[in-house]
Amino acid sequence: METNEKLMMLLRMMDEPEAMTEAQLQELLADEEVREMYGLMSDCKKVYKRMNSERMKNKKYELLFTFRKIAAIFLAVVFFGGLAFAAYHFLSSKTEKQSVEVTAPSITGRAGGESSPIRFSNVRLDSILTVVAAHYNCEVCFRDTTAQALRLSTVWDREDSLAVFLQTLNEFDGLRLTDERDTIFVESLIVED
Amino acid sequence: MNQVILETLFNAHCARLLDEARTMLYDAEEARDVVSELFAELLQRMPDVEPGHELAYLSESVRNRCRNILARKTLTEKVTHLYALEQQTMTGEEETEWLDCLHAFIHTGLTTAQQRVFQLRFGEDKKYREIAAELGISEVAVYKHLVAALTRIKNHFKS
Repeated sequence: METNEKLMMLLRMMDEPEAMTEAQLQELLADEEVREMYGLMSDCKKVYKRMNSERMKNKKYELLFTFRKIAAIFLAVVFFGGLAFAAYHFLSSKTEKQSVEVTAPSITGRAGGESSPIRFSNVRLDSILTVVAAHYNCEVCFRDTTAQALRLSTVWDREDSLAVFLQTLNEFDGLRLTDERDTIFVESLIVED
Repeated sequence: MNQVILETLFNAHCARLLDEARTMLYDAEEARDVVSELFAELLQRMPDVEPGHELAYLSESVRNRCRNILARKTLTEKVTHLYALEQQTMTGEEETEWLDCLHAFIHTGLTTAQQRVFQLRFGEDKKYREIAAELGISEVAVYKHLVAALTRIKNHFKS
């Protein structure tokens, strides 16, 4: 039998192993050339198995890369979303602060009601004290000018004593008011930078 | 050798050892068993290996285990799956080099039709009649493509 014929038989046999006995196979593979061709086929299969395994690895890497890309996009969205959220809150709180500053100063009390409390809203301290001092017949002395421009919102009950009202004002940070010899002394405790 | 070093070796070389076993056995499960069993055995008893030669040692151990598995198979089993018939004497590196050359030639020295038949037969383990149906040719034409391609490869490397 020609080597090529043997080779064809071997190829056929590889598809239908049950069609041949172990002895017949051995006889086929005894031909050196057939054996060599078989070895070559075996190596070719290894080449393709290696390629498949490389392809699988690359697919895994691709998947991993895609997953990382998605994760990065997600993180970027979260990060910039957070940044936008923080910026919004920062600006809105600033706006709120500013709105306090720009509130129109007002002094309100029940018209004609001598005993009704007066509400100062965002009014300069020197203005508040001018009104209050007039009521208690006393003078106002600012020991430093810093406190004069302070704007406060407070309620003054004219029926309260001057000491009670000064106590209310003393609760504001950085401010100390005392009543000595019919004069209200005002000190600012705020240390300017 | 302590467990930590063995763990480090496993993490560093496991993928490569699995590839080697898979290339010889064509079976992912069997390959995983070979590598796992090797490391389980090394955990019990690790021989002194010269530093820097750990991978070579592990690689040769895996190949020997694969050879033992193949040796237990009957001739029919071997031929059906196209396992190597002889105990190969090449080292892991030599075999890698040879397979790289073969790979290169398959993609440059064979015709497109021959490459297609090779891909379907060796890459996808298709039967000849399936290949014939897919390519719209006869089974005999598939054999002829295979024989012609193998002869071309043989002649190329012989020269």
